[in-house]
Amino acid sequence: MIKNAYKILPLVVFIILWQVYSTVVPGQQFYFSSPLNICIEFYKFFAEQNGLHHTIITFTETILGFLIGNSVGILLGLLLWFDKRMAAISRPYLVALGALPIFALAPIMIVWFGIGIWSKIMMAALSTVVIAIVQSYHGAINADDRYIRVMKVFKASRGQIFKTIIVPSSLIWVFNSLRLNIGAALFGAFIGEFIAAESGIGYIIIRASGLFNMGLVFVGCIILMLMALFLSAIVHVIERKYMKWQKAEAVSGGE
Amino acid sequence: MNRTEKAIIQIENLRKEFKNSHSDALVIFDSLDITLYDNQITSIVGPSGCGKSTLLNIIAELDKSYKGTVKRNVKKMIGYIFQDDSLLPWKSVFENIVLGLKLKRHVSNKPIQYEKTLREYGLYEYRDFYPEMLSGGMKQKVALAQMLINEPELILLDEPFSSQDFFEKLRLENLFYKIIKENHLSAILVTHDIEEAIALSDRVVVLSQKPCRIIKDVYLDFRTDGGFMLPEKVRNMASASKYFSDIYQTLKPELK
Repeated sequence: MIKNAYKILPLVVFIILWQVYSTVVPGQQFYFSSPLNICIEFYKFFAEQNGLHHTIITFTETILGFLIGNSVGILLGLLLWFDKRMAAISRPYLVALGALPIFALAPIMIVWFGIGIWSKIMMAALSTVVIAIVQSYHGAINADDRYIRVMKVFKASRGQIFKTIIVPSSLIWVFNSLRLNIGAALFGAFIGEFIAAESGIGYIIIRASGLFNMGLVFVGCIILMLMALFLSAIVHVIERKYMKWQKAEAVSGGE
Repeated sequence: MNRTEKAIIQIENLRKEFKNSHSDALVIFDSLDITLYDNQITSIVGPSGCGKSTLLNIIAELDKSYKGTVKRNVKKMIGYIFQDDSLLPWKSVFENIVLGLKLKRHVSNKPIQYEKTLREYGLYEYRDFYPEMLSGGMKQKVALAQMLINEPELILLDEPFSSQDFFEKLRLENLFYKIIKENHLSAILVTHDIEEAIALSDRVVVLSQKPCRIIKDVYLDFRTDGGFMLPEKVRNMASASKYFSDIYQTLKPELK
């Protein structure tokens, strides 16, 4: 613990400088708020403005979208291993869908699923699904031939090869996509709320910025960051459990 | 010569070529005939890239794009041990060993049931290790156990000792030889190491540069009649060095 204490040093220095700057220079509180002010807003947000409700809404949207997008994406990506032609056919569509700014899809999702929670879940799912497909497909086709060869010596079926070799050896890629997709899912849910919503952190941020309440805007940002950290920690724990056969140093990041 | 043995692999008129992008095919085998016998360890020696491994892949049915006939008089499976380690890194030593059994669904999950086998290979203490944690020699032992637990009739060895250090290699040679002979298996060993071929086998087949022909086919007389003789002992024998120089002289023009 003490050994790692230096890691928070940049944060502490940053907070102190920020506080000093916005206190000493007149008028800067309006633009930059201040750590102290943010703490007060934080308290007010949860005590008086139903902050927990908004947090839970955004968290639910993110996590459901994350789960839907990733499970569909990983499943499709891995299954493409069975059919090379199918994979070739789907490539341009995936490229096109992956390159499309997710922002552009938000109005469509809102028309289809309403301004409630489902349009945001779909936004989060859409922002994650392409990465999940592409990463897990790459994992599947990059499975080491040596392992497949051994399976063929045992006259294993394609289904057995899939289960015994393809799935476990693509896990590195799958976890990589999960890690990348935490941010993507948050982004999707946030964009959905940003465009049309009645609750959620995105809604709070856009409303607070309209009122020039910079303190509350920062509160929203901090909550989003905490969510991302929390989700990374969960992915990290799951990864550690499933990848324990790997060298400790090869299992990267996630903290 | 011990030719009364039953043929286990009969290859007739084998033709195999690799097509590259420039339409000119690389011919590996052109009308190759070779018969391999039961209860023998046959070594196949030849210059690098002459198609030794391809031959094993064809015998193992990993490579099916060839012309000619390959008869396999094998009722049980054909085992195959590769030069590079092919153990699944996400499975423990024990799980790797029972991989083949598991695919056929007759396996219990308890290492204790296979304790005797695991001990025979000196792997019982390592049953829960991941391959990552093992030395190269240990990995090859696991690979041997992985094949042998399925009771194959024939085992193919593609330079299984080539990435080991010298002493590890000698130890593995003895172990492999003992296990193959005690289980009355036939084996085909592909190697570029003439000494190793002589130390381990009953018969040595020397192949030429591609397209590959048999340029020498010798039965090592000190092992005729299925005589059991550990590789380490053979390595010290005068008659072994006679075979060595004989085979080396045949192979030498092919190495250029």
